[in-house]
Amino acid sequence: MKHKRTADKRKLTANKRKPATNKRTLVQIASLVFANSYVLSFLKFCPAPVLHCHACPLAVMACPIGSLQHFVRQRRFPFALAGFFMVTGALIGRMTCGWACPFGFLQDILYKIKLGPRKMKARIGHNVSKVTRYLVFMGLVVIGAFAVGEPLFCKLCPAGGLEAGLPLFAFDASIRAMTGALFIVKMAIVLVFIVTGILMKRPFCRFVCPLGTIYSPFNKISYVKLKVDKELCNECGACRAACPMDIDPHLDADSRDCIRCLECTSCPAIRVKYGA
Amino acid sequence: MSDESAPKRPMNMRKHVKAPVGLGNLKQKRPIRPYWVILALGIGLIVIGAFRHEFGTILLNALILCTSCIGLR
Repeated sequence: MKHKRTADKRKLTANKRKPATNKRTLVQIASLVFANSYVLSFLKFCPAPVLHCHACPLAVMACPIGSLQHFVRQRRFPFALAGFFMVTGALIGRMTCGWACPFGFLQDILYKIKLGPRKMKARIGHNVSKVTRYLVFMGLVVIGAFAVGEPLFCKLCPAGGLEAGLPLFAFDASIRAMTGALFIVKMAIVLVFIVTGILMKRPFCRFVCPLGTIYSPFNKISYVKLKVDKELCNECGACRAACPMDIDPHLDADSRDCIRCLECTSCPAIRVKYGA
Repeated sequence: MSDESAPKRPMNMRKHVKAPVGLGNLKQKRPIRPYWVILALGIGLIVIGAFRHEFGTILLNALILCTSCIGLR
């Protein structure tokens, strides 16, 4: 039994594929440049498939969560937005989080910063992250915006603070003059996520992101899926170590937390499956 | 006579010992995948939204300087 396991392990090591990291980083940079290419701002009628604040001076597309809250405030059902989420989710699930989201990209970079000899690992149960994500989505984006008539999530969104708040504060004197307590709170939230982003993998995506919450149920049924070959898998845990969401792809390849970054596909036991 | 001498088969085998002639359908039905349904629904909703000028609403909302996003109000 032990010999068989060693042989399997050798076979796995020999068949190991290249991780998707380099390709993914290139796509993330391209997405960041595209999302902030001011000259294409005629695209602002279309919601971005990622969390990117439309108040950012360079943004070319509308923020899907900001737009959703706008419809909720107006007490209108967002047909186009719902359709947009469904089309994106049905095709690729949460893949945009892993490959195109600028805020996710920032968190990936932050996690690469080394503090001390060993990285602090924050292992918090995925059930906790699910609860917090749904609480934020329902509490701030849906119920809060509906009840108060204000985009509550936008007021606290660290992505908006970083992409819109900071640049406008730095370059616009009139905006600087108008800042108050809310701006300080927002910057504090940005700081919290920057610090936690250095300590743990993608804290915002795991515990807060409402867009990820919308896309996450589609992971189970999307066109792009992951498949684990149980015969090849020797449960070495390499997929978990490579996963930027700290999940176990070999246990649940189509987990709601999976952002389809395909880092785990460097293991030959896990592969991308299209269709069925 | 011949029926009695033949060895008895289990019920299920006796039933399907001969392929039905003229009733078979070689065309295999493609199963409906959930993502097809959701994709079609999504496209339908986008079209409905376009007719309701929702993209105009999104554009107007995105063009106005969002004070909440900046953290002013």
